[in-house]
Amino acid sequence: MPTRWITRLETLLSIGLALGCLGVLAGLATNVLIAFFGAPAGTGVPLRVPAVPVPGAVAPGASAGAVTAEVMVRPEGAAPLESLLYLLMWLPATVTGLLALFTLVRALRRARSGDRALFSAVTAGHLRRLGWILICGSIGSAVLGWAAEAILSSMLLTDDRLFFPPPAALPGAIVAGVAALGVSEIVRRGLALLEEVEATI
Amino acid sequence: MTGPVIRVRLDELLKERGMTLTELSRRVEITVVNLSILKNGHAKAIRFSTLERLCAALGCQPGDLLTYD
Repeated sequence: MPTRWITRLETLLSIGLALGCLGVLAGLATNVLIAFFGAPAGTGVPLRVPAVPVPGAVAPGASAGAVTAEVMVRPEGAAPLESLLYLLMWLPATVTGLLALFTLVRALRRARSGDRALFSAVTAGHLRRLGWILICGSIGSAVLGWAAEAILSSMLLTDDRLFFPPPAALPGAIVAGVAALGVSEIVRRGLALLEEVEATI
Repeated sequence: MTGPVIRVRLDELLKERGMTLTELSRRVEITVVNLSILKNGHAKAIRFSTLERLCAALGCQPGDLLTYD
């Protein structure tokens, strides 16, 4: 019996994937504009500024520490290097997310052909791929993003710091990747057991 | 690589008793397809209950049914 909610989830994720691809195109267009014409109004390079003073924002008797603000820096005129570095800040992570989504959609699409097609070696392969995409992609994009942000900060900010905390989504993505690898192994072993049972007369 | 294998002597026993696979299938209530899997050595395992039914239908001992080559 094909599981209906899985097919609905697949449809929903497919829509998310299509919207994500459109978002990437819009992001790339922004990068091209920054590279050749300068940042248009409402856009710019988002950079984190650590240790921002917040006088008057905290009630008497309390103190604020480790305040980090995000500022939208707009380079004046064409800024190809800044655009390239900004691209490295967001594109690897976004591509990782889209690839993970694409792999998940491909795995769930098999539910249309029935439960047996879903619980198969192909699905186990998709899940294993999903796991490695999430683990390697999130670590790689975090490293690239960190390096690009540090260089951009030194170029565009007067108070440049090299040590930014890693993205908040990084531990979650790694855990999700490991979980996908685990589920893939469970499916693989389940299939081996199923084959044994089916070949028992 | 093929090592020693357990073989099901279903063909020989059927021939000795002048019985067809279809008739055996009806007696032991196992499909012809499954009996063919067993006969051709494609089964990975055999249940005791299957062995009991086969022995009852063929009037033999489990040792007559299985050989180790």
